[in-house]
Amino acid sequence: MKKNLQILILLLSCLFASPNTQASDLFANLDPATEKLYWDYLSERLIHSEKKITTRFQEEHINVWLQDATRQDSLIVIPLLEELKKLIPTKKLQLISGYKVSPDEVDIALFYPILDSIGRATGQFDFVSNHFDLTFSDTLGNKIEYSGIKGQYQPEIYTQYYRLGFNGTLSFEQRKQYTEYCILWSLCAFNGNKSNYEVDFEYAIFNNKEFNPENTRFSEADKFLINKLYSTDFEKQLKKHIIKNYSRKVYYEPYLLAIASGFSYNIAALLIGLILFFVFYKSVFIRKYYYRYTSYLVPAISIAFIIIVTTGILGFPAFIDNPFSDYFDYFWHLTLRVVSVILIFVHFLYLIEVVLIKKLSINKQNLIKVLSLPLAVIIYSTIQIVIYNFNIGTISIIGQIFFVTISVTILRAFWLYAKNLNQIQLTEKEIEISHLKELKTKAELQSLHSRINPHFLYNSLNTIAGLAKTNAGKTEQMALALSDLFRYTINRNGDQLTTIDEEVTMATTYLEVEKIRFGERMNFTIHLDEKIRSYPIPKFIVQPLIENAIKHGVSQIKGNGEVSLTIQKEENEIIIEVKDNGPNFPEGLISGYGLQSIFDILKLSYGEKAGINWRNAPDKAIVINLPYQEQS
Amino acid sequence: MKTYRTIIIDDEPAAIQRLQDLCQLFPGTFSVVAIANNGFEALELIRQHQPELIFLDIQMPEMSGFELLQQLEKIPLVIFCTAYEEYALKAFETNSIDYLLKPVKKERLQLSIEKLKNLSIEPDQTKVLALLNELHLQNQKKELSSITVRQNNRILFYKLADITYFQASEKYVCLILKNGEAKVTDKTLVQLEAELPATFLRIHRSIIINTDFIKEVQVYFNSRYAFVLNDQQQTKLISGRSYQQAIKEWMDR
Repeated sequence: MKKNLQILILLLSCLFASPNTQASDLFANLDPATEKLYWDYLSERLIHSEKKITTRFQEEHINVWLQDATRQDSLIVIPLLEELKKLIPTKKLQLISGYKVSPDEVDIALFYPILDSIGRATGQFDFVSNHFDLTFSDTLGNKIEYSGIKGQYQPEIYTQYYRLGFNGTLSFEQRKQYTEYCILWSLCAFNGNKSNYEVDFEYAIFNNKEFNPENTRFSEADKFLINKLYSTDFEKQLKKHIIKNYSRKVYYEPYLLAIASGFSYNIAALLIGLILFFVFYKSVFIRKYYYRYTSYLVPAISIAFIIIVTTGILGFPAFIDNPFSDYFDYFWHLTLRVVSVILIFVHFLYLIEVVLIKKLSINKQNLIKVLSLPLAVIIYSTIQIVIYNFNIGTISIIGQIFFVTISVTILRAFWLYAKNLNQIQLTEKEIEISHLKELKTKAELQSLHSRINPHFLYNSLNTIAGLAKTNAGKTEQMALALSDLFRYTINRNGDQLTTIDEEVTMATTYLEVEKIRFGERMNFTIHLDEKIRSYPIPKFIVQPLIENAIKHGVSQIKGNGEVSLTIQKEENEIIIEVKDNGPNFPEGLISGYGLQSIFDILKLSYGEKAGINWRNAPDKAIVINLPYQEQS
Repeated sequence: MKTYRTIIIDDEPAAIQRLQDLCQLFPGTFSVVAIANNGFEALELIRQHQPELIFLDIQMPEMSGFELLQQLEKIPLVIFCTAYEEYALKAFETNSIDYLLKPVKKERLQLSIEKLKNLSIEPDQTKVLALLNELHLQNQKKELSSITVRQNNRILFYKLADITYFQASEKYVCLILKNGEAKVTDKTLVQLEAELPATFLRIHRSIIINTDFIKEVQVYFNSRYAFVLNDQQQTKLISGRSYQQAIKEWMDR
């Protein structure tokens, strides 16, 4: 049972396999030299060196139709078809006869009209135009008229029509030759572009293009050609032949050339477009124009220029084989079209964006500007569609329009953004500068305000007045100290930097003055690290601390006040500490500008690297730390 | 010419010395019976000596001149001596209490004496006290200009003028600066509301805004208001319903 099944499968596979294997085996036993010869024969005639199109019947069937044929003619055609069936197993070859045949069913139509005495056909050609491409005739009045389309450089062969007007002067053999010739010629197209053939089979049908049925026969080379042309893997076999007998280079070269030639124009167009764009960018697109109208017109004309140049380059390859006047025509029409469209667009935009939207806010204006161009594109495209009538093709066009609209919108948005960005940045900078100036003036004023402490002045002068009679020495000391202090604080010219030494000196002077005022109630100590005496620090950060210590600290207690100032260096920081035994620092809201201005000065001079901190009783102190950098 | 029993009260010895010297120039008017260095001493001495006139400094440690007067059962004639001209009110002069600015000049003291001579009625104590109270309060409310924020062992200072609003969230209160930055403060909104100057208005259970930054006020639905601020982001804040009254009052000012 199993064995029977196996045999059955084998038989069936043979049945199915045989037609194919038969065909591919047809020329399997060719010697390599002949095979090469035959391949060359084929490719010289059928293959264009650059346009790799194989032209053949594309449908599944090849139907041959005879009208008004004699029995003889059928006898000629039938064996030929049998021969062809072997060579072309993939197509259904059959002979159709009868009147009611439609053009779609017929691939090769042979019409046998009866000729009158002067060789005019008296029969009717049913369904074909009366236009004949080629006519062959002999001196005896026999005529063959041919009409058909073998798309040159197209893959399809459309219905081939032959009007065979044979009078009685032809022998059977001759009729056979003519008929076979016509049928065989229908099967392929001479696309090869070689001027001289290297392979010459003198008696083969496809040897050359000249109509020569009487001296040619259906030779082996022709059979090879037909068989290979209609094999399903024709391209593969061809490739194999070329690579085997020539080289890979020979096979691939034409492809590369095709790509290159097409490619190179595209690249050239793109490059030139980009170069032009960048050349125009600063001088035309981004700059400010005196009139708004020109700011629309000039960039538009530049864009038109770029489009014309790039499209001109892109279109050039199509005109290579044509006279220059054709290209010039194309170019001229292109220019006219592009310029007129762009001018219409730009005036449309100008109207909307400048004239109509004057009253709207900046945001709304920008929005309309972004939308106006795509709107223009859509209106333009709609007009085009309406003019050229809506049909199936326009759906793909709508797709293209959509794509163009989107890209145009995005590009315009970017353009507007880039254009405005400069503006925005400039304005922001200006605002920043004026703001900073304002801040500086404010700060200076506030600083000045907090610097001159009028109460301190009045109190001190009152003290001098009080001591003048009883203590001349202290009076003198106080007066001189005051002048030092005020020179220090009121002098606002130039440098805001001072050395630690100077600042400590001022602080000491201040403390001495206050000590004279308060008498025994106040005592102070100063500790200064000698090594950092000449280190530069900003002005007005130490003395206000001391002032605070007295004003808000010591003067608020009735007992003895103690103030200490310590400045030392720790690792890479300078620590300034002011202690007093007065009331605690307030947390949260504070009055007066003293501490705020110290904070601002530190931030300005050192950024995040300096800071203030304070702690309250039992060890009330306020601490400033700022970075220490080695002085060269 | 009446001679007034006088006590000089000042925390600075030199100032006392000056006044003493001046008083000695007018022995028929002033008889200095005691001097005090602070409010506590002054209280004791006044009760003890019952002076008719006192020279009083306002800025004194722990008890200011005003606070001292509030503590007195009977207020004598007062001549204020202080460097702070802010406390000078014309009202004092009409109320026959004088106000001397330090440093005191002999000619100015003379003027005071002339006033004293022309004094006919006892100064109205209640009026004096009332005036003093007002001044005292005015004085107390020093202009708060900054707020401190603790961060990483440092203290940061922010000018109130740079703060657009305070906002409370679940865990803490933030202050929002005019450039949009937010900083955390450990004060509560209640504390802030009490301490902040009048330019800050509470408009919501969790928002206090700086009215100096208000650009627009729009009426919002449900008895609320929308405040648009003049900061970088043009922030919009909506008030709370229960604050409608307070906001209205503020707007009517």
